Amino acid sequence: MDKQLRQLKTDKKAYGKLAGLLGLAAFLLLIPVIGDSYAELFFYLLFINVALAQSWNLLAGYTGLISLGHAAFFGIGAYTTALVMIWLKWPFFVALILGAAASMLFALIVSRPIFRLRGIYFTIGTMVLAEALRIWMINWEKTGGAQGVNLPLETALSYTTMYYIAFVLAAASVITLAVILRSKIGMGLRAIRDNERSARNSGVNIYRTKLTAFLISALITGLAGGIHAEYSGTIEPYSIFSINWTLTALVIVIVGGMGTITGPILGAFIVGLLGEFLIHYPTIHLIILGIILIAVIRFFPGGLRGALVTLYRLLTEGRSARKIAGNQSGADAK
Amino acid sequence: MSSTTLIAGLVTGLLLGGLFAICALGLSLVFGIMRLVNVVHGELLVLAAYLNFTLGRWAGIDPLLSLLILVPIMFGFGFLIQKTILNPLMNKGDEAPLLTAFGLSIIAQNLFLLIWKADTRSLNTEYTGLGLPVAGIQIPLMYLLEFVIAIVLILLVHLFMRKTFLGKAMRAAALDADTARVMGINPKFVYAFTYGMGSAVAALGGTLIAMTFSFVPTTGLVWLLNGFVVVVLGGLGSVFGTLGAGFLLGAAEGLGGAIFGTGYRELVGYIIFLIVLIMRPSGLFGRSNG
Repeated sequence: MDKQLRQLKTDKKAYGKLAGLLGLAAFLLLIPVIGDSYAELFFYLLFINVALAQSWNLLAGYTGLISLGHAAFFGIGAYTTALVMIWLKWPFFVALILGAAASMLFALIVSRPIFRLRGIYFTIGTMVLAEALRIWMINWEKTGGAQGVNLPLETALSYTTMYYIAFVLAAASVITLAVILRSKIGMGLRAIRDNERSARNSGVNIYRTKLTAFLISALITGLAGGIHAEYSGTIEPYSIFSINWTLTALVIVIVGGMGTITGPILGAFIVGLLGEFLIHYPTIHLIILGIILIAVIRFFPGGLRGALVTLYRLLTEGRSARKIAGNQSGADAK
Repeated sequence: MSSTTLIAGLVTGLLLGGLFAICALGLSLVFGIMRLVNVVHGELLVLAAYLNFTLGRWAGIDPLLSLLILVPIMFGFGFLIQKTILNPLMNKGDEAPLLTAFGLSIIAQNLFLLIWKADTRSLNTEYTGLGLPVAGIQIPLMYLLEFVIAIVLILLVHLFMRKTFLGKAMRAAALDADTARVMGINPKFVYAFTYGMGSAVAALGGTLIAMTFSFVPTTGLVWLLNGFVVVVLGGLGSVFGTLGAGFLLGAAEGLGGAIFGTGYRELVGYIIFLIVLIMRPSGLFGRSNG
């Protein structure tokens, strides 16, 4: 009886969550219809940021691998997509898939050496790797050097189309994470994050599990890069391989709540809204983001999501505590 | 390509390696003593360059003379950063201080942009552009100066670490903070002192960067990465290793620049770094126990 009741309660909670998500999705799908181009741009960037943040989160929050080189995956996805469209004149979607494949191939090639690096060495290694790639692209004349390349204008997709593509990417990245984390791989990842040695002793294949997370992360980031290349119409190495992509993902994840799925979505909203609010003061925007980042790490290690959960618990526990107290005083009166 | 070009690249690169070592020393100290990857180190260098630039504007003092004021200021500044912002996170794993330093780096870069604008700056004196012709190779005076300063500085820091109580306390806290505490050493003070020392050395490094090259608000990243390369090649917290790795990186980049073109200079350094990091994660000159 009690068990059934509890089951009913969790079902209710799950349905509530599902209904909320569907409502949000419906709202976002309607934005290009009911909103203006300004709202469209805002949410487009939000989707790209959610995808980047989730892919960074998969490594940092669930595997314990703090990468400062995510810009490499983004840049490779963007450049491969652009070059396939320019050189081979293939359509965007084929190019996008090849871009994501190139990003994953890069991840696969660097995975064996880079996984030998532990903790802070992994962080430094990924950062230097991404910078090395950026300098290479700035100097390599074949891919336009520092000037970069322009994507074919005549086949360019509309901003609204790109909006929906970015929406699909963001939704897919959230769903992918949710599915992975419920799978055996997800359990292995968290075991590695918490204690690599005991994970190995429990039979987790460390290399393969890490590689899976790394490849999925590269896939999502590479797709985001390819989509952003088509959206921008022109790409150059300074901004496409910029450490700022990694930075944005990192800030969003930590501010929202690392190692959770809803945290980065919340974080992307907060960072996006702050950006809109301070759109004419980009330097002040970044200074405030830096301060928020430091404050969150110090005072709310669980991010805003963690802070909200704590607040909610405090409020509801306070209420149930009062209820119990009330019942007891009632019993006393009898 | 003539052999003179190669030799010139090698020699000037080697000399410039002194600057690499100076700029990496602060990073190496902080890394070695408290295992903190100080990603805001590049911004400390650039901050010193800007402060020196402003001092020069106001008072017209020679940049090297300004260091008499700048070094204590940067020491105090670094001490305060560690004491107020980083120390509370030191027992919360590697990630929290690293990501906090990342936040500081974002704040610093944008403050530079706000205060000093995006213009390219440099510290120019009558002697910064001079060069000495040696055997047909033109050697910039600044490179020579940096080579000498690096050797002297490294020796001084080495002596400090070996002979003074504070130096010994730093090494003790690095080995085992808890035991050091039992012995009457306050690790938190030692950490703040170490960070202050790193920032003080950055005052020198930043000034020399600005006298040799030019700088903008985002210049810190290149020097941070160069610093990583030097620190990892030199081995965790090894002072002489930092000097050796600085020279090695300088020579390799100089040679690489001469062979592949100046645009690829840093790429050569990064690739050597990645190869060494993967082959020997404890560095070329490093002891595995730090």
